[in-house]
Amino acid sequence: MTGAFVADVHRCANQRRARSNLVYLFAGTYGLQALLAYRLGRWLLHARRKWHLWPLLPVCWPLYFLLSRYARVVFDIRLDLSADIGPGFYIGHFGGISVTRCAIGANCSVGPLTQIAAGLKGQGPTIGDRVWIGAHANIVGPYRIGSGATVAAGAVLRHDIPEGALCIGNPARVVVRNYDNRMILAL
Amino acid sequence: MTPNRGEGMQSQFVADARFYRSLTGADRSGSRFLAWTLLSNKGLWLLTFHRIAYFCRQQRNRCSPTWWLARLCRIVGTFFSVTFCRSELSADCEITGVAYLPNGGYFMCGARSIGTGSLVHDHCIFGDAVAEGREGRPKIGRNVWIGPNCIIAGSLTVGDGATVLPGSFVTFSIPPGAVAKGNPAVITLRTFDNSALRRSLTVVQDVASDPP
Repeated sequence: MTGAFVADVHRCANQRRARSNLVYLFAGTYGLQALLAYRLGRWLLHARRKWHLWPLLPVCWPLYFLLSRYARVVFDIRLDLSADIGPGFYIGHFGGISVTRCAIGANCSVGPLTQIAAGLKGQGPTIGDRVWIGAHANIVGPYRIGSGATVAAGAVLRHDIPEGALCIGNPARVVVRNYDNRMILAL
Repeated sequence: MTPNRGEGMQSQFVADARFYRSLTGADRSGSRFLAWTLLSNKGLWLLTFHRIAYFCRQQRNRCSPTWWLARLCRIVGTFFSVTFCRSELSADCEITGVAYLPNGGYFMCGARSIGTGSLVHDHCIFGDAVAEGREGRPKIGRNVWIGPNCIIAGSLTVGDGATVLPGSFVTFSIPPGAVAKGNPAVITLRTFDNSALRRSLTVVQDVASDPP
């Protein structure tokens, strides 16, 4: 979990080259603060199974509660613990982001007002590595997004997205089969 | 002396408040007092914070106390525009005249400029594009009406008097006076007078479903 958070910070520092100072980076990036709460919560879920870490739990659960509530109330970034987010997750802007009940690979990034959640049947989406998800995107339901795919802003997913594709529109359709999103991911 | 300093900036604040009062004024179930307009409109706070941040960008002399005061105001203004107004407005966005920014929040603006008399609703996002050849930031013209849930991305110009219907995703330039709608957007009407729309804050669901 620590390694995952370090990867988040590195990813964030890559995105914003102007802010080299770590304190500036943490204070100016709302997503990093929300991710800190999320990683702490995931680590606590992991620590529940290790008996030698049990003394930490009564201290850290209230801390997690405060941090996550802070990110939720002040920045409206909801990263639920039921989501499985890989290392190097990047949240560029605050606001209306809710990530619940899904599996996200490494080095993904999401925009503001994005919904990633389970559908009515309770199955969440599975998202591969290096996926760029734009603002106002709606990924609700058991859809699979291949590695290196790009979901444009405002897309509403109704089908699976193959690897490396670019999809736009409502309902989302694939417009480019092999779209190179390394530029916008800034990897 | 830049025009946006001192008394000019104060009169700009008053002009903003008057414009907001004209939209949410006494005849529209609001109050005729400017102070009440300021208290009841988050968008006016956002516009005020933006004016301060834009003024701070012009400060170049680091030795002057104005620079430090401006910097402090800018940090506080950014914090409050995120927590209270729930919006992000890039400091280099050029709002020369009066413009209506939403009270509802979630207005992420990376536009290069917003023209006089434009009316923007909440949950709108103006920013960079994904596709090649379109990287850049949009320019919003004068007297534009933009509905809620809109995304305007790329180096494009929304012409004067254009109308963007709710929930559109605009990736190309809109000619003056046209109506765009849909995700991705298409132009449904070439000539449309949106002055009736801009006079109040009511959201019309679909004004151009049957083009004549």
